[in-house]
Amino acid sequence: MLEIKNLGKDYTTKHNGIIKTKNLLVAVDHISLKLEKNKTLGLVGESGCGKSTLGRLICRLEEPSRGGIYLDGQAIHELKGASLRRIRWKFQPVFQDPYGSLNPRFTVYRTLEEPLRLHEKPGSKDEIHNLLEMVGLGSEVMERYPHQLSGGQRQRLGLARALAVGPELIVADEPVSSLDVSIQAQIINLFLELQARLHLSMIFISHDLRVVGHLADEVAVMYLGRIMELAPAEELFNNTGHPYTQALLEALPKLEPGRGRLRSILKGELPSPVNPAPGCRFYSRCKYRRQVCLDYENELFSIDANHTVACCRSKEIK
Amino acid sequence: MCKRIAVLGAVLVIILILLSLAAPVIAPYAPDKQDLSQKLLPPSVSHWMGTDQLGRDVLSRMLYGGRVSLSVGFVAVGISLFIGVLMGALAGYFGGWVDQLIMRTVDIVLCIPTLFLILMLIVFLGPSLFNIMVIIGLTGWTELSRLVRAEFLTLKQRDYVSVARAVGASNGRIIFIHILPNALAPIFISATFGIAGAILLESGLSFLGLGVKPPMASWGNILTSSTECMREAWWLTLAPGMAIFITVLGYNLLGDGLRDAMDPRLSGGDNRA
Repeated sequence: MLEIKNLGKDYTTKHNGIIKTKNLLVAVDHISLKLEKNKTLGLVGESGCGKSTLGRLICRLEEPSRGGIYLDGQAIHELKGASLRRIRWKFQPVFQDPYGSLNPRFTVYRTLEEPLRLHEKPGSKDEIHNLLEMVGLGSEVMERYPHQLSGGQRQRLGLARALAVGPELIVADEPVSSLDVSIQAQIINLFLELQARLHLSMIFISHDLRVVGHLADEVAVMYLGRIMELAPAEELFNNTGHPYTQALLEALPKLEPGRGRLRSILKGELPSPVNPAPGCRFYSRCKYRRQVCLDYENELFSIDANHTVACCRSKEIK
Repeated sequence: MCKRIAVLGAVLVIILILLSLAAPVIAPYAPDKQDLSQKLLPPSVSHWMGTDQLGRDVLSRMLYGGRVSLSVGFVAVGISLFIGVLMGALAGYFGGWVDQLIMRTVDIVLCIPTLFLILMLIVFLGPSLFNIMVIIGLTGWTELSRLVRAEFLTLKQRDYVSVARAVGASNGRIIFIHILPNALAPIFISATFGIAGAILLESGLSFLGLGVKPPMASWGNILTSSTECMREAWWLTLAPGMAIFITVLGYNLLGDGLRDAMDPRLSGGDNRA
């Protein structure tokens, strides 16, 4: 249903000092993914790994520098202007900050009425009432402003807004990260429930492996703009192929005392994505690094039927 | 406390507007009726603010002068607002060469001292109420456009703008329906200050004899003529001076009050966040 081929996005950062310098920031590179209908793809990674940029690229909120995005076979990366606006209802984003993603001057009613009207649906009170009910909000919030809603209510409204136009794909960018843990669970269950009911495909972006593992059918682990490992959720947890994924899994809090000793906590920061050095992206922080890694450019290869890894030593280190 | 001061500003502005609108009804004399036998009278029951050197009633002239100040303030700022908001919005929203073109134009206009530019234009076009309004308006939009541009630069990064784009809103819709209403508070404050500034500028130009031409009354030219006979009738400078001061003060206080009122988060009500 959704197919991404070799997608990349660069930014140039200019420094207009005495000497002009131009740097290339590679935010996202060589991303190829497939998402079937009704399925959820989880995107995991540290802050700054490019997962949000990838989400924005898929929603066509950023222009890709190279590669293609195909939705039901249609090349949506080539669309521009009015033809792009006409097809936008198919893919809708949900953002992390539910307050920031609602126009503070729009009431709940107007927030939901606008997308309906832009896509030539009447936007009647009944329709909006149904939308609110679907995400578990009552009609009494209809005339409220975003600042009069609680965090959970705002995120429910954000979801209702995304669903208003009847999308096929939801790109949820850390939709629960800014909520209380108790409300996180509610919203995650709401996502699952609505996905099943409305037959949605979903890309769920998070830095939290547990949340993604709970939600996603397939998980892509990203590091410095590249996919490091791509596998069904079960497989990723039980048959980890990449040292980075290993480190992420080991960093998860464990329930059994004593067994929770961290074997390989990641040291240091994510390297800068500006003018990246050649060789494996993870080289600087990898505990299995060898000379061969410097000649390896993180090409993905299969280690199992649905399991691809971007590590040249994954067979040796397992 | 803050609200009370803002209300004071609003009351001052409303009183001044009402007085100017009602000038033909409430003015005790015609503003240009001369009576040389009654010249330079001190304030009295029949002439509340005295009379000038031609025997004209100063109160009546002040009321009519208020209409000039108001129309200059509103029309000039209206023109500035229109150009400034449009230019600032386009520059901030689209960025790139549009931004460069508009902002370099602003830089060029700002290079020339406004007062000299206005004086030069008036010398070419001739002083008249209409010319004054248009010229003040056409020279006053630059700082407003910078302000609007800065607002747009920050607001266009907000998620709700991305959301609006994602549901297929056009650029025009995003600019005028999603971003502009959220940028209104600083624009309004700037506009009220702008009205005060335009009134001051008009008074100054009229004071220099380059603004509204006598016998038409304006606070600026009332002030000029009163300074000519300050030794005999010092009280004549009081009325126009105070009027200009109170008007400018009123608009400035109102500007602050509007800022608070325009921000939905500061208004009361059911705030559960």
